[in-house]
Amino acid sequence: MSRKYLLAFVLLISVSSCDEGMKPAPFTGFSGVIRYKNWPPADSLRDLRIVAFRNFPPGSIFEEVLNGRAVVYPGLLDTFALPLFVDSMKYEVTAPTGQFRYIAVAQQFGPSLFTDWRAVGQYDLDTNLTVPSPIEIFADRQTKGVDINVDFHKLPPQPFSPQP
Amino acid sequence: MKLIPTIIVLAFFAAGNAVAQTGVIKGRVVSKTDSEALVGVNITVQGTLRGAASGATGEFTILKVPVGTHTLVFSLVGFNRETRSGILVKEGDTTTTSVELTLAPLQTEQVVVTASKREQSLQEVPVSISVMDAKDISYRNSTTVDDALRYVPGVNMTEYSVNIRGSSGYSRGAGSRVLMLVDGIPFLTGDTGELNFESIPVGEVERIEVVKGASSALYGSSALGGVINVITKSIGDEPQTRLRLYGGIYSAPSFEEWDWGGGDRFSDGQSLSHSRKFDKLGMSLFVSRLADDGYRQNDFKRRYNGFLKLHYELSAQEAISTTFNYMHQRRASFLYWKDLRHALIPPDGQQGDGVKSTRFFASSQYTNILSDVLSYNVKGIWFRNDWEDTIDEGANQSTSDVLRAEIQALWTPDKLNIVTFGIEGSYDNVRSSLFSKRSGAGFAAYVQDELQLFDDMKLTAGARFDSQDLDSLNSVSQVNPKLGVVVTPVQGTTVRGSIGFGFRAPAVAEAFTSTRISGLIIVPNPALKPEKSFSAEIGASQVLGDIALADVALFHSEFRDLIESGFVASGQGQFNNVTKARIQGAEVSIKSGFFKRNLLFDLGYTYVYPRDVTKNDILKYRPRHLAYASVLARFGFVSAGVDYRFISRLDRIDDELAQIVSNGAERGKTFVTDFRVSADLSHFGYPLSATLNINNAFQYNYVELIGNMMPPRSFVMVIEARL
Repeated sequence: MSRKYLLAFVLLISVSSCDEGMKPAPFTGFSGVIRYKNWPPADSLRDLRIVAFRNFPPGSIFEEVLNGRAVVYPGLLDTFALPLFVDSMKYEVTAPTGQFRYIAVAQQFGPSLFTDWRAVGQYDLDTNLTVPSPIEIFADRQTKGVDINVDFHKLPPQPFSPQP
Repeated sequence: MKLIPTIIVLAFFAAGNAVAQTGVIKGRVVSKTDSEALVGVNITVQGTLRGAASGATGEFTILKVPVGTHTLVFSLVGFNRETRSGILVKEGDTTTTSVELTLAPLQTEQVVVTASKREQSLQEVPVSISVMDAKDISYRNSTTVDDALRYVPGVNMTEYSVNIRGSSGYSRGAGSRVLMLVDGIPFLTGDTGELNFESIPVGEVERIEVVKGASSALYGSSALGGVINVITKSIGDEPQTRLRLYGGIYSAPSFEEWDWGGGDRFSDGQSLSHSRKFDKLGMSLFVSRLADDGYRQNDFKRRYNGFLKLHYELSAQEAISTTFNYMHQRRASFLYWKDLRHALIPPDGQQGDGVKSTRFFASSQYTNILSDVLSYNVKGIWFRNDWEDTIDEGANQSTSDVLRAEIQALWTPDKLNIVTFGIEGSYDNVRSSLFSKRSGAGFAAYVQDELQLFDDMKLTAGARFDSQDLDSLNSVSQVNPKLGVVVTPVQGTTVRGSIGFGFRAPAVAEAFTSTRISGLIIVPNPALKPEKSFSAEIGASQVLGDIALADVALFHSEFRDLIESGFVASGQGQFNNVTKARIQGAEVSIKSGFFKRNLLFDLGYTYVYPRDVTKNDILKYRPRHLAYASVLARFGFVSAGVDYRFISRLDRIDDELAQIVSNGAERGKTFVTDFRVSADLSHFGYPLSATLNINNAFQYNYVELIGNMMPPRSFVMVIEARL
């Protein structure tokens, strides 16, 4: 009788051990690390956001986002922003499928949420800073390694219109 | 506040006229099966408070036994209870006796105290009771009682809320439909009315009794879903010191997405206890420390516990016990996850939230056996709960005091009746930024008779009157009757049935909470009414060939004015009397032991159909299926065990909260398997044992509560030394 109990018990555990339970929700977007250098004084910093544009060069951030041609993280109306004065940070951004030709860290340098933005870092796999590297987003997949270096003493070319 | 000293002074006065002629009873207890000495046998002199526990050689000594002819009662878990009558004690003499105990068919002779506020055999009880002993708790390295309760059939935990057979959902730490007692004394906080698990010194627990179903006829408010009574260890004749150390590590998360960069996460704990007797005074001291990094971001805890128990034998018939309990805890607060892709980190704005709490509990109990037919005890309790948090918008703070007093008597007018009766009074005082200044008072009187109607039938009938007054809420009074019957048609078969009414007065936190937590606004409800219930159960247990004990129960409960949290039309959260509910179900459990109990199997299955009659829907946070299985094998000095539990997917949760929490509706079934292996080195003369626990061995990912992933696999090593 004890053998039957033992067998039933082992079967029970074996069956249940095949399943691992809950999983992370499917994710479509991109992720990477932002590395910072030479932070400016606190009073010259307002906000930092990650922006992915469908087109390069883009128009203004606001215009591109409103027209569905850009993704911004955190959202423009979110009170939460990227942490300041850190050496580096990991990030993940949900984005629709397709190609994004320009990924940048944007800094709000003035009071206007609509116009006062500049790029302080961009995703680029080569040394030719005039043409940033594009990324491709696939459904239910995370495009990893979209790393961005930000050096506040050495800003990349400024593609936004209007320029600061 | 002067209640406890008054009781102590009264007790010492009572001792003044208690000088009597006495003698000594000595003896030895062995197992009838193999004549091996039995350690830890509880020996009591019937009709007195005198008693002893057998030591390492099975020997015992009972001092200061009044002159006369006595009956000794021998009991030990796993063995049949034995009585030895006609023990003659002469003045100044030593009487010697030896006893052999026979292996019981599992738990048939287990003694319990919760069902009728007195000691009785499990087979005499008209309601379902599960018992966990100290070994069960120690094997699993349960660091709090709620951890241990996860292995009891019919019991389901949702974070710290206990759900017995579907009676409770998730109450957010406010109110409880299960009453928790420590040595028979209520252990609920005065402000939130929640179960105070963290204060219980787990290392000092002798056993935990779980009464399933309405028990308000003896215990009053909060007991309408059941009672959990934590019995602490009695103080042995010989000095004993125990040191317990453990350390553990959590496994890395199952998925890269859940790795939040926290590195290796550890837990560790230490406890030290010492007990001894100085003539008539016995003392037991327990201190412990726990540190847990937590497996999630912002989820650490640090806890310190202290427990002192003093027991003074004023005479053979009188004793006074006093306990002091202290707990200080600092912990981070993880309300819910950021989202399912970031299941182990809180939302960005909730980093750094935490709670600091200090709890102090003092109780004193005077017991007097006036004669062979009448005894009484007087209890006094003071419980302070003090906490402050740093959650969201500013700090909340709360201090509450609970004072209680109870006089309980046990009267045996003849051989057929055992009558338990008593009165209780309580006073609560709360000063809080969440609940403002509140106070409440309660009075209760109860009586219960156990009538041996026929040789094979026992009837239990009782009732309790409660009157509760909580600040500005309307005063309420309620009488809760109860009726139970136990029939033993043939040896080894027991049939039981019971019906009873219950009620629960709202807790201060349910009626008066006014706060904002992570964007949720909670508003008070000064019109809240008490919950009421009716419960019925029939059950039967059957011994199967001395190797197994099977138990089956069918239960039915009706609830009115059920207090549940939810969202009102304005979008604010509030506790309301919203629901009329009906809960029906069945429970089956089998305990079996083979090879002289060296191979043990326990199985339990509970089906619950918890219906919200008002909405014609399933009640929130009640799983319909619960199944437990465990096996324990001993091979000489090594033992190994496996625990398995299955909990079905929750049919309903808080839909509104699930909208607020990202991926909040995500949930599934629960399959958790724990392994443990233990070596007892006392076989080689070293008073040491070592146990390795692998909890959630298959790393099953599950939630009990919206947005709260439960712990991954963890490895915990426990070393215990008995000096």
